[in-house]
Amino acid sequence: MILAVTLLILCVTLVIGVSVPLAFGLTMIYVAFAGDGHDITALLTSGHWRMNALVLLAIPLFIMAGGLMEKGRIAAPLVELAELFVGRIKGGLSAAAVVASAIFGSISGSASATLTCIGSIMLPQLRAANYPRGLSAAIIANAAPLGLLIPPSAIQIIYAWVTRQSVLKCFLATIVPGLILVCLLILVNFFLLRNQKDIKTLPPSENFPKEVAKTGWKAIPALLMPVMILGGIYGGIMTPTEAAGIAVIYAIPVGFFVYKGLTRKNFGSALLETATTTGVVMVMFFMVMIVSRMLIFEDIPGIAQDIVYSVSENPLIIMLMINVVLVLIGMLMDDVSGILLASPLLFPIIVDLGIDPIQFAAIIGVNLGMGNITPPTAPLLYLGARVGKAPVTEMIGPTLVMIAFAWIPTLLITTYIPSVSLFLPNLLLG
Amino acid sequence: MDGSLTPKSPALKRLLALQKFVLVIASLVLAITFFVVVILRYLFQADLFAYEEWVLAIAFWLYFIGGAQGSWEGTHIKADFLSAFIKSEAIKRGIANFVMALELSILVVLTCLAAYMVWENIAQYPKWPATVAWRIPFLVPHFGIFLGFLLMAFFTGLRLRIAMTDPDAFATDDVGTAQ
Repeated sequence: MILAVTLLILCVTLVIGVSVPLAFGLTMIYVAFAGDGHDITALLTSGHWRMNALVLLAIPLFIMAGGLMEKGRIAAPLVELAELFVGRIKGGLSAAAVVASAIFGSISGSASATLTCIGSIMLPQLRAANYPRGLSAAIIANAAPLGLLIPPSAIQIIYAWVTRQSVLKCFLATIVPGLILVCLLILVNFFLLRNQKDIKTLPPSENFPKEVAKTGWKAIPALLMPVMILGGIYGGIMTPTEAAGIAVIYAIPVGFFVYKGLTRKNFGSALLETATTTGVVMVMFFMVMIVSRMLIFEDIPGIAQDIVYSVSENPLIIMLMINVVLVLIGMLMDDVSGILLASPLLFPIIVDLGIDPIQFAAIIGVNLGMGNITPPTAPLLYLGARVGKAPVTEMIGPTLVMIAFAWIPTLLITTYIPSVSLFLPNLLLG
Repeated sequence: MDGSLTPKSPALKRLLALQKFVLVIASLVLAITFFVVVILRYLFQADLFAYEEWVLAIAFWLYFIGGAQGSWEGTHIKADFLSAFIKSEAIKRGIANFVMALELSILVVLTCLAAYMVWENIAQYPKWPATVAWRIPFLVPHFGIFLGFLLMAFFTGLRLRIAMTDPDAFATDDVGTAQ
């Protein structure tokens, strides 16, 4: 009964437009009164204790680093570098956008920062080269979740923290699925553009090695960032939180003096914007954490497990059902609240099935990335429409093709071939 | 009914300026602290003693004052796809006002709970609970949580009042969804 009413409250409040933290706030109040043994006066204190963790500070710091890089025009040299390699073939410019999103994802850890940075640079170029408006915005929106899959990734930090797994292993688990997605998105992009006749390509290079050297040199300060962050974390030099702090401090001189996108005027506004985003994300985090704790106390994961096993005991079918549930969660919620709600609920089932929790990190990452571009909620699709000034209706068709032929195959491969996500963690961390 | 508003009263302008100041300073302190921790460790083989105690206290102020700023800007994450299916502006406005009233009610409850949490700390004076090393009272982060919810309730109430009296005050071209 509590499960049904909780889901009803959540769905109704989210559908009518109540903000996510307050939808969970109302759920919290309901469960506190309807459930057994909850002390309503101690709920916020328990939320404070749950969030009083140093590792979670990596989230605001990565958000801050992403915001400073966005304002610091750090994405421009990355785009130029990607264009140099694939920009001279038909459809190459949009393929470059996918590659640039993957590289930028390894810096920012945020899908929306990836979309805004890469989109604001690539979309005018794509339009000038006669790429269809809806398709261009759709490819950028579909590539943006690579920011969630290529480490560092805020949602992987949250997953690792909620399920008590190694952050480093979770980071590594999503790399291969991310690279598979890059390849499939590029292939689908070429397929969708095959009949477009008037697409312009970049002029042939007069001296390719010289251009690579020149553009590569310009991109070095930007490319050093993922090397520093990931090298620092995997080299055991820094914790993810320290790496995030270093990324923020590194982005300041690079943004001011190297790429000159940061100014005294926009530096403060960049910090304010990222602090607001941090507040919005972390208040939601706070509320969802309290509710998920209460649901565990009410043994909702056990009830969910019983429901799943009543349908089938075949692990393949159960995994399929879990994927469908995750896609539905991704369609209704943003990635952070989705992972906070789904991880504690589904984790016991995963463990019971004998699925490696690190593989599940990759499964959940791909699912929530797909949920971000799947209507009706689809925050990245709408953000892509805004950045690309394209009607969402023109983006839906190409997006559905990309979901069918890039996202779903990536999801199935990640779900049913464990070595895809476990190969790198096992190789590097044992 | 999302979107930015322009503050008119001087008191509100000062409150927003103070809020922004807290957010920018807290952000910088967090980033610099972790940078210094790494520098100290590798260049000076030293530790920043129990820095996590005050860093986490500051973090809660950043989280909740940031949440309040999100309420002022109307950038809290929401699904809100019902409005896409409703054509009538009057119905849309009615639903938006109902949602804001509901949000305000939830925030009032949360503010009361946060006030009780703060009171529980104060009631234990002089033996109030504190961190182990620096003896920072838990009242510090708890008060940040309370203030955050109070400001969120205040801004939501303000938005509701404006929506009821002057719906055109919302800059609808600046509708934003948080990252």
